[in-house]
Amino acid sequence: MKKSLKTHLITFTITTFVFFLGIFLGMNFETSKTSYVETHYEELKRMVSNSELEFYFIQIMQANMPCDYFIEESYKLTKESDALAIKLSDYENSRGFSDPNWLGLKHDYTLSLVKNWIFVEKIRGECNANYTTIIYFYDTECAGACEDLSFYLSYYKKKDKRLMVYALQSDLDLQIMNLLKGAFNITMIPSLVVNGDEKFVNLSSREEVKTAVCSSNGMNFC
Amino acid sequence: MFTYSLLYFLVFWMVTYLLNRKEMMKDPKPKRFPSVSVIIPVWNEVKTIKRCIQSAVDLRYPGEKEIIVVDDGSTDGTSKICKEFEKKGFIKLITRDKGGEGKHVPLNIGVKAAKGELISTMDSDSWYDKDTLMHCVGHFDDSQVMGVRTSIKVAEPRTALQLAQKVEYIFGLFLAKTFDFFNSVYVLPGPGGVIRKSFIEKHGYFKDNITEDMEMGLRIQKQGYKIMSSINAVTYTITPAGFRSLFRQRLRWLTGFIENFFEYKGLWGKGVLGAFLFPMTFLLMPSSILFVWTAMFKPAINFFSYAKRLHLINYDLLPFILGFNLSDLSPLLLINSTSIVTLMLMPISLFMIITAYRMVGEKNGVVETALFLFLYPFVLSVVSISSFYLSLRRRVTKNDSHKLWVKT
Repeated sequence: MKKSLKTHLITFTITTFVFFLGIFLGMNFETSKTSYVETHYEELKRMVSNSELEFYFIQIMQANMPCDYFIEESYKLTKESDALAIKLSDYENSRGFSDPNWLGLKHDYTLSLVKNWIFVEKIRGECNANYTTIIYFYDTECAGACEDLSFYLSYYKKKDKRLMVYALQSDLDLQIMNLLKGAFNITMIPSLVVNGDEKFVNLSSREEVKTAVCSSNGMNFC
Repeated sequence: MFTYSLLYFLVFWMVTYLLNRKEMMKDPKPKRFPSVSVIIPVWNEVKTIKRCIQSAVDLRYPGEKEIIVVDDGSTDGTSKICKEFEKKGFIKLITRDKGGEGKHVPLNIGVKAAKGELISTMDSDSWYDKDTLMHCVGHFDDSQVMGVRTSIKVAEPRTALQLAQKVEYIFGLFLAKTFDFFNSVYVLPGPGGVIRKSFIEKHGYFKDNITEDMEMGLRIQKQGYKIMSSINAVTYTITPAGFRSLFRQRLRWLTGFIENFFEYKGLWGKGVLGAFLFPMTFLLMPSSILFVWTAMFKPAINFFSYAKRLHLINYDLLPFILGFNLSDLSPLLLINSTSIVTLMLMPISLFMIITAYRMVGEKNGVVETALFLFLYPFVLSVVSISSFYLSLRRRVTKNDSHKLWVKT
C-alpha cells in the first residue's frame, strides 16, 4: 500500500505537471494563432492602403496611369486576401464562431476585402483590365447551396487567375455590408455580382455558374 | 479529463518501472522443482500443433514433467499428429469424439488427469521457449503465489497488423510485469500460464467463461493470493493476421472482460487492481471514441463533404492540383491544448516501448513501432468500440464457443 501510494503521488505530480504544461503551451499557441492571423491581416491592410495611396497620388498628379503595375498589384492583393481567407477559415475551425477574436478579425478582414474590391474595380475601369471581379454574398444560414457555389467559384478561380472572387458574409453587422446589399438589391442568398454590375441568383448548376462568370470579360474557360 | 486519465495511466506505468527497474527481470532461483503437467487442449490446429507439442517435449526441466493433449474432436488431421507423439511416448492423449462445449471442458479433463503439482496450460497455436518453466517455478516457493504468467511474444509476424501486435504484446508484457509489483495481475494467459493444481482443486475448475484464463486470474485475486509475471519465461503465439480475425479475438477478450468485471464486482475499489486498473480500462473506451471521432471521423466527414462535390466539376481535379499553394497551409492553426497534451503522450509511449524492447532483448524495429504508434490506434479503436458495443449487446452466443476458444 505504501509502495502504491508513493507511485501514485509521483505519478500525480508528473501527470499534473505535464498536463498543465500542455495546457499552458496550448494557451500560448492560441495567442500565437490570433497574432499569426492578425499579422497576415495587417499585411493585407497595409498592401491595400499602399495601393490606394499610389492610385490617388497618380490621379492627383494627373500622370499617366501605370496600368500594368496596378493590374499586377490587383492580382497580388487578391492572392493575399485569398490566402488570408483560408487562414481565417482554419482559425474559425479551431476556435469557433463565438470567439470574440475571430469575430473582430472577420469584421476587419471583410472591411479590407471591400476596400480591395473597390480598388480592383477602379483599376478595371481606369485601365480596362481584362479580369472579372465577383462579389459573392453568403451567410451562416446558407449551407448546401452556398457550399456548392463556393466550390464552383474555387474551381473556376483555380482555372483562371483573372477571376477575382470576394466572398462577403452578408449577415455581419457592418454598415458597409448594408450599403452594398442595398446598392445591389441583394434579397436572396447566395447571390453574385459580376464586375460590380450584373446580379445573379439561384445558381445551382455548373453551367449556370459558368454563364454568370463568363457574362463579362472572356475567361480562358469560357 | 480523458486525456489526463490516459496520461496518468501511462505515467503510472513509467514511474512503476523506474522505481522497480532492478527487479523487473528477476525470477527467484527455484529451491525445488515440483512436478509439472502441461495441458494442451486442441481443436483443428493441424498447422501448429506439431510445433506446440514439440516445444513442450523440448522444455528443459529437471523435475517431473508430463504432457497431456486433449483433442476436442478435431477433424482436420490434428488427431493424427497427436497420435504420432503418443506412440513415441511423449504425451498422454485424451480424445473426445465430439467437442464444442467450450475450451473449459478439455482443459478441465486435462487438469483432472494431471498428476503434476503445477499445471501449465498451453494453447495449440502457441509454443514454449526451452526455459519457460525454469523461469516460472521459482515463484512458487512463495506459498502465496498461485499462478505465474509468461511473456507472450508474437511468432513470425508477417502482416502490418501482426507487426503492430508484436509491439503491443511486448508493451503488454512490460505492463503485466509492472502490475506484478502491486499484486494486480489478473489474467493467466492460455499460452504457458502456470497454476498450482491445489488451487484449482480447492476453488474450482475452469469455468464456462469466454475468457477462462481471466476468470481464473480474478479468482486467484479474489481469494487474496498472488499471480506473478515473468519476463524471462517466454512463450510464442500466432496472432491474427487480418482485420476480421483481430476483431473476433478482441470481441472475445472484451466480452470476457465485461463478463468477469461484473462477476467479480467484489474486487471493485480494492487495491490497485480494483481502484485503478479496472476503472482506467473503462476510461480507455471513451478515449478511444474521442480519438476515433477527432482523428478519423471528423477528417473523413470533411473529406467526403469535399469528395461528394467533385461530381459537380466532372471530377476535373487538375485546376486544384496545379493551383495548390503550400503557403496556404497553416498547421499552427490546427494545434490546440488537447493536441499538445496528446503529443506529449508520444515520447512517454516511445520511452516505454524502447524500454520494453530492451528488457525482452528484442531488436526494436522502426517500422513496427511506427505501425503501432500511427496505424494501430486507428484499427484498435474501431475494433474496441465495435467489440465493446457488441459485447454489451451480448452478441456472442455459446454456439460460437468452438470458433472462439482456440485463439488467444
